[in-house]
Amino acid sequence: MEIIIIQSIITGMMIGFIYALVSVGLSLLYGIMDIINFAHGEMLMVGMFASYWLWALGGVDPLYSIPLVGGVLALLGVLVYKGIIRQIYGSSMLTQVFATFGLSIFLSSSAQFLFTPNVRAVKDPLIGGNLRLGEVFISIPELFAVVMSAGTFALLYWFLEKTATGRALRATSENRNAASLMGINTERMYYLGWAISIGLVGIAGGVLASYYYVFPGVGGTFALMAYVAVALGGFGNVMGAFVGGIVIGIVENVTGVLFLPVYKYIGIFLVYLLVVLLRPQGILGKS
Amino acid sequence: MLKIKRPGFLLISLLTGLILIATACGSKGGSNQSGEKNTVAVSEIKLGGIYPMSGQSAIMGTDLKMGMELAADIINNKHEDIDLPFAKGQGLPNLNNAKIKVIIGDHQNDPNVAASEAERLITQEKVVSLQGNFYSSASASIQQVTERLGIPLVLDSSSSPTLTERGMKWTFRTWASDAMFTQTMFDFAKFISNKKGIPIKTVGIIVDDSLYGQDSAKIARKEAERLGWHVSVDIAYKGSAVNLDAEVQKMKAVNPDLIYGTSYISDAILIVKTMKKINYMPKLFVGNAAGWGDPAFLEALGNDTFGFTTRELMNEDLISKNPSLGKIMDMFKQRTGRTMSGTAANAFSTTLVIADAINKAGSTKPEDLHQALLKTDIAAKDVILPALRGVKFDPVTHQATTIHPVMLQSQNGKFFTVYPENMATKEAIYPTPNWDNR
Repeated sequence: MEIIIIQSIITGMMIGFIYALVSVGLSLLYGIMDIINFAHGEMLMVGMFASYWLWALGGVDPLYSIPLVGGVLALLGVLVYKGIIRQIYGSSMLTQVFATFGLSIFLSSSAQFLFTPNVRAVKDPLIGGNLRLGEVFISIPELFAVVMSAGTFALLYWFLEKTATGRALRATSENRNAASLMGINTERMYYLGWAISIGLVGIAGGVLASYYYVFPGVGGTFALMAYVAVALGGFGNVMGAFVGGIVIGIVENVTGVLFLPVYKYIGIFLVYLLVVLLRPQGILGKS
Repeated sequence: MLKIKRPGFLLISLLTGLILIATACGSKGGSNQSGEKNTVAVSEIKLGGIYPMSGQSAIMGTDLKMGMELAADIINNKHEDIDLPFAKGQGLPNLNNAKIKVIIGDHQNDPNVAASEAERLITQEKVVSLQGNFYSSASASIQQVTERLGIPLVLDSSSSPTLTERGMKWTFRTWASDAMFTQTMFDFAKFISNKKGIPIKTVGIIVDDSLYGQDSAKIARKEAERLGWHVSVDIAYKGSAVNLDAEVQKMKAVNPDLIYGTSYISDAILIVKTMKKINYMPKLFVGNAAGWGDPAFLEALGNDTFGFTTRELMNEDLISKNPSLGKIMDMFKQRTGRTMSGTAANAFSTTLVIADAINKAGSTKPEDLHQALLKTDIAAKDVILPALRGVKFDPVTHQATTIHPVMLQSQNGKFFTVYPENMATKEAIYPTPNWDNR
């Protein structure tokens, strides 16, 4: 029984690190701009497709194309900011919501139109197989995903805490006007925020492409987990979102194994409700 | 605001115009259904097929379509060397050698799309019958349309039992229902476990949340009860999943002797990958075809599929059991590069059944076709699937009756028939070896 619980915690943690990486970008964006990017899941899907097509048409294993996909998606983030968000920033809440929501529909429909709803998978990726530690089994692609996720987050955290630009980003997140008064170019911060946020999602997509199915609807589940993780960890708190993602992965899996898999989402949302009731600012949010 | 001089007059003329246009459109489209009495020589008879032409089962849909088109080829052209109905001639003899034309619709596994495709094929393309559909959920939607419009629907690949249990006059089924299939699966499990002296006491069920999955789970529970086996874990998951870790881990935690699974192809592959990931394998896995019997299953996983079983009505190693099967499978492989599956073979066979009914009726009128279908009595040698000993429909449910499903097991990357004993080409391997012992 103990082995089962240990295995389920470990397996849950591994998917949790992916949720975490996806959630961090979402949280960052909200912190800087007070905008919830409803197209976040679809951008993950774009990243996964980019990685898949680089493999299918260019023969590049998803492992190698991760930096490229991250870069391409960062560029996409910049374009989305420049083309869409800048136009509607500051207008009513409804307009902002619909802008990204509309973008999400546009992206998933375009993917369906261009690539068909067929499910694709990368065959024989470079990373495969599993590790055995006693009675616990760890899949190597997922372990790699954990390492990439943790490493990328560490890099981001260092950037935000230790570099001047990172601090400027955090300042903008805390108080836009004050930051502007201090001489920070908030407009540039917005560009940067979008580039980082979507770039992170691109890395997550590139990592996932090695072992997950790629199809136009794949972003949906991850996005849902990301929203909950961000709310759980505290809106705008990047570390909170990361921790939130891992917590969700573990809760999802443990609930599913201890009770019945059909309850796994109930488990997640129960935890979320508890946090909202007992600590509304989120696990790591400031009260 | 625009000032209209005589608003009343304008309104009436607009309305009149609209009514005239609507009537003109309506009379071209809706009225004439497919039934033409054969006083006017009909040169072409359209048969409709609605399959999943996109989504995770798109390849299966393409194969089913090819099954129909192959049948049309056999009927329309001279094939001296093939001993099947209509093969040696050209077209349907009782209808002045009218040729068959296949019209395909894509239901996208969406009930709304399925219904509108059925409407389109019947009212615009004027097909005289529909066949399909591989997804029972699509069939449930389509049969509402065929019942309303009075056109025969012959199910060649949908197995949910409810489709022939609702008193639908116009629905027929040449495929087996899941009731028949699941009974064979459990009979096989009992047979092989007795033979090897390792009894089965517990059953785990893992199905997706489609109509197909849910209905099959109900039958599995009944079958387990019939054999006195306890269902120790009962899982339904959301189809097209990206993560089934919790589900598979739950199965490993409970560890039943027998697992009964119903999944479409991408979920089946994901389940096996996850089972390998956490090193879990039950004594026996019986898969309810679809993903578990899909050639793509073998292709994607190779020998990781070793030991997995599935139910079918046909397999490559049964070619010798029917004189025409080999030739038809060759033709199929030539056109698609793939091995013909049981469902594709039944799509082929069903088109011949429908053609036979049209020919016997001597007309394409729906009521005549319906009467002829009820009287269908095709000999075993004229049906390429060895598990179908001829085609006859039950007078009340319209379910084909003379069906004896076989069990296939994956060994060394191929499916072999392992049950019943008089059809088996290899012995079943039981219990299934663990991941480290392959």
